[in-house]
Amino acid sequence: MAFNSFEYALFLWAAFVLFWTLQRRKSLRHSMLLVASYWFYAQADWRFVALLALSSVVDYAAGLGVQRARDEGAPKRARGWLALSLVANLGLLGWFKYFGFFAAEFGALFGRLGFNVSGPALDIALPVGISFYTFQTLSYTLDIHAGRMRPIKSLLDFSLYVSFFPQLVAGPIVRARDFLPQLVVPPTLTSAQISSGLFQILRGLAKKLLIADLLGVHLVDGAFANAEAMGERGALGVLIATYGYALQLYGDFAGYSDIAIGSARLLGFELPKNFDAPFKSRSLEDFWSRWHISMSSWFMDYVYIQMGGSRGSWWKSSRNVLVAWGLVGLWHGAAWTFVLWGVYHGAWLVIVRLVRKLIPGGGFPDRLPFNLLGGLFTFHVVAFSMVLFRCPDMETFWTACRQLADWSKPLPTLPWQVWTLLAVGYGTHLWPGDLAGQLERRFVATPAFAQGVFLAASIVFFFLVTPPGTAPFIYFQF
Amino acid sequence: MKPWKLIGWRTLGALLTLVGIDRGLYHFGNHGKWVVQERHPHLGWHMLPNQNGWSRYYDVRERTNTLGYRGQGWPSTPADVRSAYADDAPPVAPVEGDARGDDILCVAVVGNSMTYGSSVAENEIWTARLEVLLREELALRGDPRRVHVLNFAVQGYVFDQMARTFDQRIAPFLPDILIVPTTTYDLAPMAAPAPTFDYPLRRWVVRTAISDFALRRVQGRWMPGPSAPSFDPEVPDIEGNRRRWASADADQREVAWRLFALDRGASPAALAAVEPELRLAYFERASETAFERLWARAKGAERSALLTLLPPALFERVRQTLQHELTAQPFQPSNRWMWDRAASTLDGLRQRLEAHGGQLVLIALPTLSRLSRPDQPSTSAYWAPWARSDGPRAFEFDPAAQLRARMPELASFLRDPAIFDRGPRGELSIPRAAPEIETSLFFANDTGHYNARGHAALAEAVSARIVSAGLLVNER
Repeated sequence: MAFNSFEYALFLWAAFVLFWTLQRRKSLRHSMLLVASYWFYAQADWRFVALLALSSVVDYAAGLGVQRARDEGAPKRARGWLALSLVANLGLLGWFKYFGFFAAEFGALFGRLGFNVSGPALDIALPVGISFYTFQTLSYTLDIHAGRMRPIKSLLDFSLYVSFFPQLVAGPIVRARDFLPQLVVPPTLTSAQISSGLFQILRGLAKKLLIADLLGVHLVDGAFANAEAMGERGALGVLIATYGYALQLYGDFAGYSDIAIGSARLLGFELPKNFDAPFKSRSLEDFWSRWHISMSSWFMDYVYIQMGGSRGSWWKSSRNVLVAWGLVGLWHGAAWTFVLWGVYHGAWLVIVRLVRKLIPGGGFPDRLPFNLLGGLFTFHVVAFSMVLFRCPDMETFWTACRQLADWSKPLPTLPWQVWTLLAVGYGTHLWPGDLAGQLERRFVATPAFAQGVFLAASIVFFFLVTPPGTAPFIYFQF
Repeated sequence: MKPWKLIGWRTLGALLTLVGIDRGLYHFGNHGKWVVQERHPHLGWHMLPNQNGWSRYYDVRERTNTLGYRGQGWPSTPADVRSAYADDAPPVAPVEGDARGDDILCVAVVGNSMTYGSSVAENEIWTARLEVLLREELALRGDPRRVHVLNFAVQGYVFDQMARTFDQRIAPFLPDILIVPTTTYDLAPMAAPAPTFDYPLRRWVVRTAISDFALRRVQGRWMPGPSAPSFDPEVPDIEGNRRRWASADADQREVAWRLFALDRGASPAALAAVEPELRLAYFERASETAFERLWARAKGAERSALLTLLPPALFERVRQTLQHELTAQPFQPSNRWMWDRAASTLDGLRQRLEAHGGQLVLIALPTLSRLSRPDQPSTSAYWAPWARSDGPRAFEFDPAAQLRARMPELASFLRDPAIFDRGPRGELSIPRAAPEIETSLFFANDTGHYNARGHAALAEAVSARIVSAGLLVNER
């Protein structure tokens, strides 16, 4: 059930009414939400509901086990429980997401060495959202082990944390210590909260349906279809397609996150911000503190810092950056293009740090020309990496790289609608100040009935201008 | 404040706005008034069930029953027809033995808009009138059977779709008589069945005026169509072809391979050694090129065989060309293969009917041009010998003479080539000043379809022929 479907609108409305009807009955309220979340997940593939439940039970038990061992002063036993959680979660992820990839790669490697190790090919279906909820549950046991939080006693509440439907399929990756306290406090509902939630949902739908889907259909899909399509575009054509894809990916994923945050807010929960105008970034570090914030901060806290972070020599911290970013790439998908994409970002971060180290004063001055140049540089580094992310294979990617050197071909003829989408998309994104915040405040101040009118009129408008059917969210595949 | 109060005003505002926009488009923009078709993987398209809308010119009401056809009060629907209504259901196997009661004379009619009854009230369609006439005839004979004439016509259908309709929907009804009204239009291959197209609440959404407005006024008008990647078949691109090859389904692969083998005139064995690369290289555009070369060389029945290898990208173009050729010169010897192809389809239908003792009746539906020009060849020229050669379980009938007798003055007037002209969009038209225009059996502004008088005349002619052919004799 996609967020951009009528089905979801009805589902959310029903969940809202039921949830607040049970406002004073905690167990029933949470049970209802858990059933709704499992039902939501079963819409994608009912077979994997058991997997979700298994992951919840294992980490619930591991959390209690770690805490008991810590309380009894038995660090080895605590590490044992933590290892159980790590093995269970990474094992699930490894089996469903990476087994086929590594089996094929090892087969090819041994084949080159003269050994025939080809076994039966396994076609393993990837459970929706597994990368997200396994990381959530991992953060829970890791935090307990590190003494940053205590385990929750209610299995119902923990299962709800793992399966909470707004963030189940594609994040944001919510930390247990951010979410679980919200289950303890009795929820309250205000008119402003509903208005703000609805605005977030509308904002997400606009990003997804008006920007991402239309750019995908009318510009990006054709350009990135294959090597021969890419081979005709020339440098300007590749650049326009790349700018289009950068905006599409942002609209798609940030749109999803906005709808998730808005849906959760309607149910009285606050999810962390996942995007913060990333194309306004002045540096790569700045970008990764604005793009898929919940994922990058997860890797920062649980991988990079655990490896030593920036402590130690420059070489050591650079190694840490490269390893962490290689893993970020692998998290996105079981393919060398994703690993290369992660290492590419890691390498740029290392280079930027090196340049900063060499510049007297530790960096460029905070002045407009430098900021503009930094922003342009960052955007192009990121956008170029998205080419790698989008290309169906390495051949298409190399063709795109070759075309970037070919400035002889004219700008491709594109319909005015595509130019308008690009202008509106980047214009609203780069608008100085907090445009979305201003609009949200105005929306919240509008009478409730008028909000309903605006909501319905917007939905009709989205329906009119977008192609029939429901385009899936790009990040569902991760 | 109570939660329902907080969400209530917003919900009310949203609902009123949605209803307001929808009703506004309905009443002031005439949107969402037509009955709606949807894509179907086997039939190409079909009507949505349980609709109540307006006809094309908003002059009569059109209703569809629970199976998506015009006509109410059908006998209880066989369970396997209901299950066949699912989009991805396979064709229904004919029911063995006589599962239907002996007290019903079941006449099934397939067809397209002429039988569907575009702009004609439900009780005036010729199938509805035929039901009344046959019922009266049985009553006169003291035959206690009830008569059901089930109209399975859908606008735009051709022979291929009518045959599929029989397999998909009609077979479980075990009809005593299957009537296939024919025109030359029906001989062309059907449009390619669309892939399953689905989204949540689709059937509910497509009936709204907003959806109608979006489809007819906005999409394709304000937003351009998707840009298709171009492809040069001369540039070797093994990897790209391999990828496309991998994403193609088994049928596409088979088609590409057979096209290549045919085009090169080589035996599959000789090509086996180089198969992987050649098959890949000749996929998609290359197979289209191969098809075009083969099509140009092919004659008669070869074209019929080649049609099964038509690449998807060429399908609609070739289909429209064939339709145009059939309309312009249906009896040209070069088009004979299309008649033979249709006859082969009907052979299959007749055999399936015979399995339970059913009778096939072909009707050469007279067009306006045929009524006004008796010398013009009728589709009977082909179908009558075919029916005779096919034994007693099939017969063909041309009601042109009976229909012409209903509009003699007008038919005579329209015979003059100077008057009988083509309209602004290429269709035939009847001048307003034509004598006895009120006797016309066709709509003046839509001469491709019978009006209520035409349907009545056709029903009487068909009824009389069925009676005279002895098809009402109770053989049970």
